[in-house]
Amino acid sequence: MVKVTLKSAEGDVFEVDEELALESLMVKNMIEDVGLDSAISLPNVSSTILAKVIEYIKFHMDAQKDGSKKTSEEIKAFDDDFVNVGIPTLFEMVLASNYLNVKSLLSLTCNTVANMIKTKPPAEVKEMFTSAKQAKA
Amino acid sequence: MEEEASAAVWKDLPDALIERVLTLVPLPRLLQMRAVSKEWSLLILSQGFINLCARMDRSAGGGGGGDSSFFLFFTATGPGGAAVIAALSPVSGCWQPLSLDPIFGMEMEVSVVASGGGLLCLTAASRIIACNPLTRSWRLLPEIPGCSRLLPLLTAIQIDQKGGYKILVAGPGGWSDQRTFVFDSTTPSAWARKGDLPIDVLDLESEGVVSAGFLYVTCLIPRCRLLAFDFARGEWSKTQIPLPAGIASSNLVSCGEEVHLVAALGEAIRIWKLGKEAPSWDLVEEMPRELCCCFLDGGAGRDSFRCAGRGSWIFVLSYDGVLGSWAMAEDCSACGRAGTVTTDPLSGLFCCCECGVVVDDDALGSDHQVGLVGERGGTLVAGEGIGALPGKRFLYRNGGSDQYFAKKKQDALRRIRDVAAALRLQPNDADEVEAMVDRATNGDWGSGRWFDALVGACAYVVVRNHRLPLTLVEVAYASDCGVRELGRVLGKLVREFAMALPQEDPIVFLERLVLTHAGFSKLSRDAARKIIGQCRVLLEWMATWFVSTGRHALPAAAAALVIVADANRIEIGLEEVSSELHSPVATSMKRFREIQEALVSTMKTFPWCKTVVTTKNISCHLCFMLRYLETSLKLGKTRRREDSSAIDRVQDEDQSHSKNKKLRHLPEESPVLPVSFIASRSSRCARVVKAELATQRIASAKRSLARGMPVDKDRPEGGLDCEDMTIESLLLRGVTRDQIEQGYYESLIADLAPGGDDQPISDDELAKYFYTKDEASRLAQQIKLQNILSAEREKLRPL
Repeated sequence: MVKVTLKSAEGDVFEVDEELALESLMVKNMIEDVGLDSAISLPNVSSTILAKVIEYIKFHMDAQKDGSKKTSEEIKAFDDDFVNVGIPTLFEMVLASNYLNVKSLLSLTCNTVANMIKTKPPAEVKEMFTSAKQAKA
Repeated sequence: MEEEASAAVWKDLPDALIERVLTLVPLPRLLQMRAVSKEWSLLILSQGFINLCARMDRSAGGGGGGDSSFFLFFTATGPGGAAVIAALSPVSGCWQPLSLDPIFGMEMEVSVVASGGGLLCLTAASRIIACNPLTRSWRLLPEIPGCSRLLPLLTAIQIDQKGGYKILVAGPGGWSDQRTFVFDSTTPSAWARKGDLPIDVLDLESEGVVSAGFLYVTCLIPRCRLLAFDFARGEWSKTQIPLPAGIASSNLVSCGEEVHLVAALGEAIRIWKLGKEAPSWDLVEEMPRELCCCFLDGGAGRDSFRCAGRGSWIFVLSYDGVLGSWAMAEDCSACGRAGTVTTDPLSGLFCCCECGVVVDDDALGSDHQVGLVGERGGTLVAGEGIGALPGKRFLYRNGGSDQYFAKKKQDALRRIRDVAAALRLQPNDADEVEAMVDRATNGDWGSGRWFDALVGACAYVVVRNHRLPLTLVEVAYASDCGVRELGRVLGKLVREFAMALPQEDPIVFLERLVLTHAGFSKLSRDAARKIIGQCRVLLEWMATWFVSTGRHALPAAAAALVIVADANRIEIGLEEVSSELHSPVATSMKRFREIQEALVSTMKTFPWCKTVVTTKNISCHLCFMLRYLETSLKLGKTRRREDSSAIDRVQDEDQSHSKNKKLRHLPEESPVLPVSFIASRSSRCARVVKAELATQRIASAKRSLARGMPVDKDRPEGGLDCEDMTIESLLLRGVTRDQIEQGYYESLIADLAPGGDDQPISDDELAKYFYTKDEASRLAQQIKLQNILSAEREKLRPL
């Protein structure tokens, strides 16, 4: 199986299957452009986040395989557990999934943020999102 | 502290990701999020964002998200008059109150009449408002033509794929109104009239369901029939489908493309499906017995539940808010597997056990939500609230009255402004008209034909008070009412307020005419002034000649203008001028002749033209005449003052005498006197002479009779005529000379008539005063006639 080398912001190298790497549209485009010979550099993604993203993709790819015994409850439990992280990590993951262009992960993380927003009154949401911009303005 | 610091990272989230996150927030919350900042508010309502929301594959989110479908519940009118609206999210089961108050403020009394696709249809006074309670946007639709009072049998909203909507109103005037109107938001035109309701349909359920381009509604009269309206063809379908027999409390529900009927039959609640091809009802489901018992025992009578459908869902809501529903053996559109929809134990609602979500593909894109009519807080009332016509009538009679008066006043003010604008009145004049109308109607304003006439009358009073060159005819034309009607109202108004209208000033009319009429357009400003000046002179002389007294001045003014124009070699017809001044041509013509005669008689006082001037050739001398009149008017001002003081003196001297004596002393030198005046004065003089002679004759006859001598037979030449004899006999019977001078012999004779006893002289005695046989027989004849006449009168009296 063809392997793709991904290089994180810290310079750590991750070797993954091509099939898995192609889940990220951004990586897919890079491979089409430069080929498989050199390592693909991802300067916007830290090693920890990249590891998590790879873990997510791997799990879902396994779940979708024909021989998978995972039920939808298990997948849902995994997803819930996956995004049950600290706010800085979640934030990084939103940015990373957007950068790497992983559709399903982006939806999951965005949904998590949306759920955070919808339980808060507008005043708190305002505090969360806009004070920095007002300071800028 | 640490959490706060970590939460701060969100401030660095790129805008594109914020947008992405926001598309996943359910709509009601999302709309609240507009309060976060100006940027967010603009973003959320931007077309790009809405498109993005529509594009997002919501089910792809997985997990527990995507609860964007929700139900709207509302009351027709709430406790404070305003509708209470709440949104229910079926997945989380939480209520989201929405309020219409901030949308309309407290000024409008609104009442919900229909819902569909997340839109509400409200009525306020006689107008319909389309409103989206979530985006808080609304639109006041134009008035339905020919429908001043709105009591629709049925109102319904259809949402089409492109985000447009159609509002249907059947029977806008209530019972016996078969008309159907449709308002289409995508076309700029107003209400379009569509095919009428079938003639035998008298009343409809006030709510229908819209499915696949058709509106379905059950008939109340005749009972238990289903009617369908085809939006594409714009008419009611000919066939009416009978409902299943024996059902009660029927509810129509639209699920996807299909129409279902939920109704109570016996002890159970059942669901039927309308067959697509043949108009028939197929029983699809019966509510499980346990659920049915629980549902009905929960306070809901069999007659009081309401249903709503969305997608593959039917929600059955009971009277006291017990929310019950059961699965239909139908496919869940989210996962495509049959029979997977079951009750969610937490919310009492159903969800698909495969995917766990309630799917609504285009919830955000075009505001698709389910509308339901219900009681406050989600409990529903069937039969009360919206469907009940009495409720609506109440709105019109009581709550709506303020609105009605406000509208009436607004219309009235607009009417006044229109009339004022048509008459080109100044703004403060228009205010005066408004104040007068207000006073005349006691602040009640009004509408209709009588109000037009009142506005016209008030405008005319203002016109007269301000001496504007406008005639009654023109005001009548501007206020769109008949001249006679306007005259009547004007008379009433003047009497009511005891107003004294100043006389029309003919000069302002002549000014307007000379300055604007085509016939005078070649004149310079100075020449026009000169003509107006000459008219003024002529009008003043006309008063002196007794041709015009100042009343009905316009025909005289028209005649004067034509004469002056003739003198200035301007050709203009009397008819034309008369019609411009809205005065009768015949009267103008009469005045014209009178002025000519007066001018001729004035010219005849000049020694050099005693015989040459006639009314036919007067126009050759007009130029000179007008100048003469002008100068003599200027010179005569002082002299005439002396004259008038002389008249005053005479009057002072004669104060003790009777009125006619004053007239006799009127100075002879006054140039021209009115013909009728001269005639009456000369005949009066003749009567005075005759009465004097008759008195003398009677005196001599009495002397002869006293001496026992026959009456002197000497007669004045020509003998006595009938009038002499009448005077003499009247005098003998004790009538005073003053009475005889008045000349009303007939009435004097009638007054003396038959009584007989109190006559100072008998007929026989009277005969002694007349000498010849001829005279005596004439007298006898007269007396005979008189008796017959009085006898006739006596006969007539009892009638």
